[in-house]
Amino acid sequence: MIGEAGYEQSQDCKVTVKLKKRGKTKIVLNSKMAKMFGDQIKQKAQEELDLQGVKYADVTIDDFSALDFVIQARIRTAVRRARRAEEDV
Amino acid sequence: MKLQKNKIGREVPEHVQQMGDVKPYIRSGKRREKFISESDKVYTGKVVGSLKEAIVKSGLQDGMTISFHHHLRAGDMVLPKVMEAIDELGIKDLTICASSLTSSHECLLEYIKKGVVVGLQTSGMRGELGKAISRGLLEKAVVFRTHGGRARAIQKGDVTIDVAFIAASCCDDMGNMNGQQGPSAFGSMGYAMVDARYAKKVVAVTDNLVDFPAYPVSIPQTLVDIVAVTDQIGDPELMGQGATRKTNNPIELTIAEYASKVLIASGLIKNGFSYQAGTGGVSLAVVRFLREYMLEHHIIGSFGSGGITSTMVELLNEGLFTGLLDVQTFDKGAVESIRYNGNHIEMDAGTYADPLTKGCVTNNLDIMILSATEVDVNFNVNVLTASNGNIMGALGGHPDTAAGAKLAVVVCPLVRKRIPIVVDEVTTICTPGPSVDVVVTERGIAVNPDNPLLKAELIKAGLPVCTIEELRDKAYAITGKPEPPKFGDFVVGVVEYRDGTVIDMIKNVID
Repeated sequence: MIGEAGYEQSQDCKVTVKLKKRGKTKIVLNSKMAKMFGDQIKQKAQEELDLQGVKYADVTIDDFSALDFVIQARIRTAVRRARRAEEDV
Repeated sequence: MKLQKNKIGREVPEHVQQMGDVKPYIRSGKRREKFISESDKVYTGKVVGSLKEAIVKSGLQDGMTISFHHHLRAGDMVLPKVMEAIDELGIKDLTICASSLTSSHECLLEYIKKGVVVGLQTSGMRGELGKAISRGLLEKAVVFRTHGGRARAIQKGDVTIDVAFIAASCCDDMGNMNGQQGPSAFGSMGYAMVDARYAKKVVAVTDNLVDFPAYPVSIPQTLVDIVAVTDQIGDPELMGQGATRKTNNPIELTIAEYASKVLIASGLIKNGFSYQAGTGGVSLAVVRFLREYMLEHHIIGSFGSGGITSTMVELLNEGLFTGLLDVQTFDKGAVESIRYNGNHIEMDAGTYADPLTKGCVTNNLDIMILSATEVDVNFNVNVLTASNGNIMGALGGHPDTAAGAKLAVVVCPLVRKRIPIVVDEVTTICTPGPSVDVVVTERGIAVNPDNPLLKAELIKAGLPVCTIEELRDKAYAITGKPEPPKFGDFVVGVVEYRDGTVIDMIKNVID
């Protein structure tokens, strides 16, 4: 199931989380900051997924130079929305 | 004494002490001779109807150096039009010595690829051009010069300009010109005044040919070879873009408020002080705080200098400064002012900042407000390259004014978007740390340890003083420490300090 959070605005990011039953967690980052902060952002994203107990997911982060806490918050909300969508089915 | 008879029939000595060998008068006397000799050609009929004609008449050849000035900034049409004409004439291998390059000069990308342009000397560059140069588009390293350094290099002969193309919003048929009148008025011609004096050939490019004599005369007819008429030299609407932005951003206002308190605490704001504001939201907000303080305490400053904005003009009009010295006029309001206000004075780039003259204005400055792309823990400032290594800025008068001013204040946010501004080491050193007195951010003020008296005054004034290392740590705590950009071994640019020594180099960025 899919959950989205955030906006395509400066210093924000739009996160799409697709929860899966199995496989691998894949994080795709689209960001102008990728070269400078790509590894850091992905690491923070993974930490947040771990914190939320997400084991298998496809995560896309369309980043517009957000700080880490913003990215983490958007991931948290996207995960919650994906889970809610799952329950609604 | 040996005598000789000249052409008009009088005997004159062959030799006199103060002259050496005497040249006897040789004209027949039948026709009035206007000009000194046949070998030094003096131009009459300077006006030509097209840029192509002007280029041909100037004798421009492959491999020569041509110059431009950037007073029309983002609205400049002269460089693109001249380059188009040069390309059509098939002239190539040229070096461009520009006072700076702006977003209106992206066309150079194409001319570099075609081999029309093989070298650049400029204060800076932006956009796609900067990105491409950063990736090694030009084989020759770009020479980056400060505004004062460029004046010095031209005057000293480090660079010889074969043909200078000078935009004139008002020009007569003999080449007397100014930038203050006409539909494309842009104000001061400061940078071009140096080119006009030293270039071998000077071409005035105008869209406003007026009856003789054009007045005021910023560049006189005595220096001008050719007057080329074109339909438009620039778009004045684009000229002032962004320069006079009034900020409501709370971070910028906080920085400005701290900066103005630093100025007050320094004790330099008193009758007769001099000031240069720069542009950008923070600098202009500082001026407004300064204005209130000056009004309240009945302080009248001596001069404001540099790039002049309408914010500084307001202070002149209120009698808070005796005069403004203007090398580059930033917006319409300031253009109006230089046209009508005798105390708003045009100055050339040499007078402004050339360190080898017998006196330049920057060296008489009390206070300079400077921006920064990056500042490092040694107070070195970068204004030329982005944190990702791309060339995207300009030296401008930054190193000149920082060196000259009694108090050089850098104002910058601690973080821009996700990018830390106070860092371990700047990407490119443009202004050396010893020139900088204090760095003001929204989260603290760091004073150069070389200036302990200032630090004591700021602490006494209750300002949030900390070390530069603390600022760096605060920045990294918010953003994380970025991966440094990957550079290759190819030198794409060298950064000249104002005295002609090389302070840093720029290598190619690897994607």
